[in-house]
Amino acid sequence: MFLTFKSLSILRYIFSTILLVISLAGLAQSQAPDLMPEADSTSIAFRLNVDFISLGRNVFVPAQKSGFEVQTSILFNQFRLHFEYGAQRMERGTNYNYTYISNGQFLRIGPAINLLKNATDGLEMTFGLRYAQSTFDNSLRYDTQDVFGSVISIEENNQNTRWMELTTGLSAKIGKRITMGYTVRYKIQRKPLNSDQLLPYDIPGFGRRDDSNEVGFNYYIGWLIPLK
Amino acid sequence: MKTRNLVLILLISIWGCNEIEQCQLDPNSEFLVGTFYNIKDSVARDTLVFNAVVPSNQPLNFYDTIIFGAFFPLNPTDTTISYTFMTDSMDYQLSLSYDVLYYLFSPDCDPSIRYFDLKVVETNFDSVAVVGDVLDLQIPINLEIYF
Repeated sequence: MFLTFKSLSILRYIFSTILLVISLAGLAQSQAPDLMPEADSTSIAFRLNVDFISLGRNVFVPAQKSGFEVQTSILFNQFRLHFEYGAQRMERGTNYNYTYISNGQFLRIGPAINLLKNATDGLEMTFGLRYAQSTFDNSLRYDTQDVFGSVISIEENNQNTRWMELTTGLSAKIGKRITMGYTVRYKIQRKPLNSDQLLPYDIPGFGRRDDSNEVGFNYYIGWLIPLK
Repeated sequence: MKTRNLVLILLISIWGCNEIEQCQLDPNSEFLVGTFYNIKDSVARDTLVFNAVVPSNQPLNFYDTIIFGAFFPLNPTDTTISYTFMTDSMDYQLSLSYDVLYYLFSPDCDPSIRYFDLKVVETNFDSVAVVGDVLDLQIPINLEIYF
């Protein structure tokens, strides 16, 4: 029930970020002169983004880390609502006498705002928030080589956790309907895991369990479909 | 002279920045530490001679002589273990229970095993006290055995 100093710091950071986003949005709006007629000011679009970093891992390190990540977004003027889904499989210990596997999916949902509302070349600079959730299985097989000759083989399935993300990103049009850009994520406030015997090392979509905060990076290529 | 000093400083700084081996920071121990005392005066027994110290159902003999204390391994695939301390006159039994948690302390080390909630289930020693119920390198003694 009591907030720790660290929690207060994080809350203060979130609050400051929200204030910054609101004030920047207000600045962006105040800078927009009435150059365009009222009727033309509304634009709605749909965008599908694919993360190239996840796909690249499938090619270069498929045994250690594989998966994919897609992002669908509804764009309403300078506002965005993002739905993100991904799957990730991590394997560790290939050079040691153990095999640890973490395999699962994650979802993220949240709004963002484009601070470059009046950019005409499709340039976007966004700030946003996400609620994220991950569900995964993990397993460990370990030949301890101890006096008992123990071989540990254990699985813990359907582990789940959730966290929040503060995001920022840049993207630009590289074709009529094609966009490219990146998103940086600061992952915070992860819910602790309830593990009986095997504590996970990797949490799909988040990162390492022993880090309470993580930073993530996506590089997207997207397809834009204007709806209005 | 200046170049030699510069190289020396560089070498010292590289050595200074050398990371501590991650695995050495793992606080978990795979052995419980037991110490032996005389029940009459609670003075530590300095030398104990056993015919054998064996865990149940294992063809192992850990010790024939124990000086004050000894390290006893726990089985990571089980949550109970029994030891038999064999002497010429009688055999002492000690049965323990514990919980186990597995995790990767670092992917570059062997998986870590945390033994905790150590309890005495059964014994025919005069008294056994659990003074440290977690097998941790920071905890010097887990069991005090009196007989």
